[in-house]
Amino acid sequence: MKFILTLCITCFLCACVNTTVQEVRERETGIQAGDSVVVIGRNNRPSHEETEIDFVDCVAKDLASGGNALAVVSEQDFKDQTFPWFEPRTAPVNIKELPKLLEQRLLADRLNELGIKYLIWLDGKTQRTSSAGSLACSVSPAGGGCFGFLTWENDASYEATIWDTDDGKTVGRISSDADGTSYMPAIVLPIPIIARVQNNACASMAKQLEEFLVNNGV
Amino acid sequence: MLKTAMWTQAPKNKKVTFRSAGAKLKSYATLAWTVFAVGCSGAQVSLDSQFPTPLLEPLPVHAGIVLTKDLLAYNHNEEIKGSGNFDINIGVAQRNMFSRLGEGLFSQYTLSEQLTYNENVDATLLPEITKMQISLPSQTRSEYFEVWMRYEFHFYDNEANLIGSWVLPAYGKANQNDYRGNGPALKAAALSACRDAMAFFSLNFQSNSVAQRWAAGEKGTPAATEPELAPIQEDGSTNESETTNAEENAAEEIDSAASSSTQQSS
Repeated sequence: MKFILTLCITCFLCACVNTTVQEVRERETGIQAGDSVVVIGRNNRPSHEETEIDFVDCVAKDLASGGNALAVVSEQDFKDQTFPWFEPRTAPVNIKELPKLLEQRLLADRLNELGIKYLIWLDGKTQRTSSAGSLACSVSPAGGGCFGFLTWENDASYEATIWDTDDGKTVGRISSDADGTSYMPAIVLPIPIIARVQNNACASMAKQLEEFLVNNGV
Repeated sequence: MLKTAMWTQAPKNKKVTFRSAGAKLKSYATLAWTVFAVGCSGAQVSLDSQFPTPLLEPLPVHAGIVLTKDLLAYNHNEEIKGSGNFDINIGVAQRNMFSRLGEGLFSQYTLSEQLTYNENVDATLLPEITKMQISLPSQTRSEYFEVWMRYEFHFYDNEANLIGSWVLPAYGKANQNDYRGNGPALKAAALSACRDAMAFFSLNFQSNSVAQRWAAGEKGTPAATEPELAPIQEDGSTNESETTNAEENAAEEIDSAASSSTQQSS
């Protein structure tokens, strides 16, 4: 039993993920005391694509923890507090729409109350790009088990666009791409060797965002 | 194979017989089949959610909002072949929705259950859900649960004379990968549709001509029963370009979806 557990844990560590992070800075940044940020997933209409809620939560949680932890307002709280301005039908699609939106006095006041300095829009998703193999399981009164081999490759591609709410301009973009292959051999028991592609993309994105916002590009 | 199963499950110092192992496997298989069957047998959803108050300058109107028993009891039930029965109690959300809308849009509001002459209010609004439709990822070969709703808002003066009506389609979707099971995903899609209706209503209220006349204190006539259509401009578009296009698209989607599957609403 211990051997199988050890094998499983070792195998989990074996699945590799390649991550690439790129940054484009357009303006200086900085976080003062009392400033906060919000991470929002893109889900504008009529686009049918949405960034996964898990990914948005993961980036927000990572930004709010660690050495340079930022004050992060949760996406749902932000959308409730600014309703109806950031709903899928009404949210600004590009930066040109932000200054006009901020002309709404009540909205501008609410953003000030919340201390929102930067809006971070997340776009993208994780997709399975290929898969192969087969695995069969059977259960009968005499016993059960699985036999086979599965492999699949996931590709995560995300981009964060950061808007400054003070002047309604884009301060930069960060992209995080990750890919990895997962395996599942099965001889009686299936042993998943999972490449944590989305988690790696999230961790890389959050780390880069934190440096981008705090370090002022120096 | 059996030896492995027994080896992994057998507590120390306890003898495991072939019969007991077989019985355990049978019960596990029954449990697994039950979980699988329940997972494929539709969903029952009650939208007992809280909604936010719109962040808008309230109009100086004391609005009466009539929430009829039909609206508060609105329940959408749909049998989808191969997927089971889907039941959404959306009526339970209406009181909170319209309370929040009343708070955000009007300086004062009063909820009631019947349309009557009421000298204490400036005008009366009566919302109605006229159509609702859902679609599952398996039907659309996408990752999304989708919900379409069509509201009809009837605007009355305080003497219960109709000024006009406003048809408002709403749409919500939820990615199945973000939720565990049909129920939570469908609930999220329905919640999103309700929020969409609130957002659409809030932001377009002041530009809708029937609502403008209603808010200005115009008196209605019993003959004014036709829903308002946005006037067509010279270029063929309507004067509410983005929202009206979205409105029309959603309306078309509701109609096409309604014709492609059966539904029972009560």
